[in-house]
Amino acid sequence: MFTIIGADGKEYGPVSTEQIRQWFAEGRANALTQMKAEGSTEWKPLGSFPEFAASVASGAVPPPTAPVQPRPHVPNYLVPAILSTVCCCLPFGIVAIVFAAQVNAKLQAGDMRSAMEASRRAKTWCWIAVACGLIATLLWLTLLKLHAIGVHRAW
Amino acid sequence: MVIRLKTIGLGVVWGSVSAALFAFDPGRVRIFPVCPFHQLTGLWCPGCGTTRALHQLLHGNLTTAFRLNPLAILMLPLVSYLVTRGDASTLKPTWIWVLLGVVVAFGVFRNISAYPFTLLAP
Repeated sequence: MFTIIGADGKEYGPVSTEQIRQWFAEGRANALTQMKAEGSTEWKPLGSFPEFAASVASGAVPPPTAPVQPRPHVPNYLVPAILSTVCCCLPFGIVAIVFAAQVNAKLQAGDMRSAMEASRRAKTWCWIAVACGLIATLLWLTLLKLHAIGVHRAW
Repeated sequence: MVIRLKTIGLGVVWGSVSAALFAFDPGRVRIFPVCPFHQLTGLWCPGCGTTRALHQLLHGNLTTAFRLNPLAILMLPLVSYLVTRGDASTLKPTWIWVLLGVVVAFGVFRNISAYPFTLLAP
């Protein structure tokens, strides 16, 4: 007779060797499930009990877990694209938003390579928008200092 | 460590920009960068009025802020959400197209010099 710890973390038993063999066959217990023999206080994995060596060896292997494919992170630069559209340079910011949308579309289609390409482009256009915004602002400030232009007030 | 420095740096920038926006009214003082699009074309861009709106918002004047740039005020929660979420690449592409459409439409509408579109201009 054995006491066994279930997947829910609770102790079950004492139950018979047969019962545990059946649970093992059903996949409810495996070679690593902790249990202790009646009268003993030592918890050991099921596989280390000679009574179950045959069951474990007979190939009642736990079902293989589906291989987890880590999804690589492809940033779409949506936030910088929005900010550069409204703060810096409207036309180039919009190009950046279009590429951001493409990143998501390609990611959903599972096309990693195109997604990364679109991501790179989105980033580039964000920077172009920021650079244009800065240049235009500096140019404007210079011209204003030289009194070459009047002031359109818009912040 | 690098990430922490970046966070601190962003925090400092954010804090100083907020402080400057609170202290100075961009409608009166010329210390903030101006809209290059507006300088070049004389047209309102979708973002025109945002700094003035943020100044008003920081002073608790939600209505005035909304009048200066309704889109910016409405987008504020969305942008904050995207920034805290940190990853916008799982958004449905459709939503990005919708967003782009809204921004462009807003930009067009606020330049129409007839009521009620004039309400959208800052």
